[in-house]
Amino acid sequence: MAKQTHDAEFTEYVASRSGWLRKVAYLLCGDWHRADDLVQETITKLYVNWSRAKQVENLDGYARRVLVNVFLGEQRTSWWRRTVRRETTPDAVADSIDLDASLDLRQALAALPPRQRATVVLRYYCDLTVDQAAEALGCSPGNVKSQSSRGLDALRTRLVARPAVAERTP
Amino acid sequence: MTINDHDELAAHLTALADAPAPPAAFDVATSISRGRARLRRRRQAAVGALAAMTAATVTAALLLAPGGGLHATQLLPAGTPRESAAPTPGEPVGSPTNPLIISGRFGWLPDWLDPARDVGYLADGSTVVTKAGQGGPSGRRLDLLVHPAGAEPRLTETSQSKPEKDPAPPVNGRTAYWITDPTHPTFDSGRRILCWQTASGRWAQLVSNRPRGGEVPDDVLLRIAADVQTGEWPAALPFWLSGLPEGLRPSQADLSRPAAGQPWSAGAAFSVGEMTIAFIVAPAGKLEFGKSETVCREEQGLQICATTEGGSKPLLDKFGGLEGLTRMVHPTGVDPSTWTTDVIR
Repeated sequence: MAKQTHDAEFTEYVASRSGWLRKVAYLLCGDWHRADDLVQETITKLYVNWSRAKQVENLDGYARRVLVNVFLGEQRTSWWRRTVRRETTPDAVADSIDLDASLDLRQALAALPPRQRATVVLRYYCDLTVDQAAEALGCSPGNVKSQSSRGLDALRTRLVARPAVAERTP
Repeated sequence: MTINDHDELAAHLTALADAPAPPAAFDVATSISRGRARLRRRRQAAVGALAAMTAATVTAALLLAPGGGLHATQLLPAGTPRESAAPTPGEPVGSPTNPLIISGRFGWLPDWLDPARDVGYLADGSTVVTKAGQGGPSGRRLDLLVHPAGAEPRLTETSQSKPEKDPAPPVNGRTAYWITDPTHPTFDSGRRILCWQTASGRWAQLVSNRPRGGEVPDDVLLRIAADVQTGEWPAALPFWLSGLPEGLRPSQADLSRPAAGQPWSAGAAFSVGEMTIAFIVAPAGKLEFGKSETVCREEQGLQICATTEGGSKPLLDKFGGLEGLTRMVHPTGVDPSTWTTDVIR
């Protein structure tokens, strides 16, 4: 009975928040299929720690932190667990339907180093404060500030310097 | 597009995230199933830790001694759900002297892949994958998996996927088929999988990513498959290890050679109890780690890093801390001609 309740609570939470997690994951990695892999792993980790997670004050923040860690963990280490999973459900990099402007931004985001990209997403999409982003990233507020600043500069530079795309897409 | 202020960037990010997307390919049932399996393993590990305290030395000797332990190329059949398998302690990867034993090598490759620069390897658990074109700008990537000798790997249905065999032209005169999934919303658009029996009798799988507009034609995949070699070869790595503490079991290893000018890196991870220690070597200045518990040093133009997860400080201190662990790593040089297959000494 307790197990059923445990699973029901977890399922209800995931059903309500997976769409949001998927969007954050997509902004982090720039690929919907990979985003699905990230979300799958994130909610698996969430399930493993559900007894503790459901008691935290900010469950969304907890889930987001897990997602960011899963994303950065993939970048950090070169042994990539989803490669193993490819045996049965291989990952894919099929492009989604892109609007031109979105494509510009997606490409500019993709050019950022992973932690800069995560910082930009947390600060400007998730609307976290510097301190909140620092907590999610497991780093100092100063580090978030510098990563944000560099990330924004890089995005501005890339998005301004794109005449070729502008010409290509009248 | 320009970004003049933070609100504008936030609006652009929201628009990007809200853009039309393919149907989601994850599901909560899979996570619950995998989560339960992990919890079972965790519980078993906790129970096993008690017994391991008395048997640790013996076990370590068995696993690391020449000829001892399990072998990484004892692969699970394709489609065997790892998470639903009976919980077992992780198998050590590689051989007693090299954590990265390759089971498949590419022969002919299309000209967008450089066989020397773009091919890497990954040993993780019971799987060894040969990878080509990883992370390249085109999104095209090939992964080769050679199964151990034995019966043809079976396909496994999940709640998300019902794979089918679609006959392919024979590869070197032997049976071959594509693995497809007409019922899955994105499976076939995202990848092409060729499965065939190699000359050695072992079955192999070639997985091709299929970015829109960058699909690798079937005849190219068949030609690649026809030239694949199977066997067992120790990978040459840019470092060797000495003085590893007793009880460490090699659990993962890789040689990552991303396409598109990203730096290569090589690494090996070792497990002891709940702790994993990883060594990573790459060209100096090219790595960025997200965790604070990583220590790096530089030698011969290489960055040598040690990092850990899930360990206790007393246990790490017993191994000399991360600083001490980095001193167990001996780089051979940036030039691949200096790399060694005799990695664990």
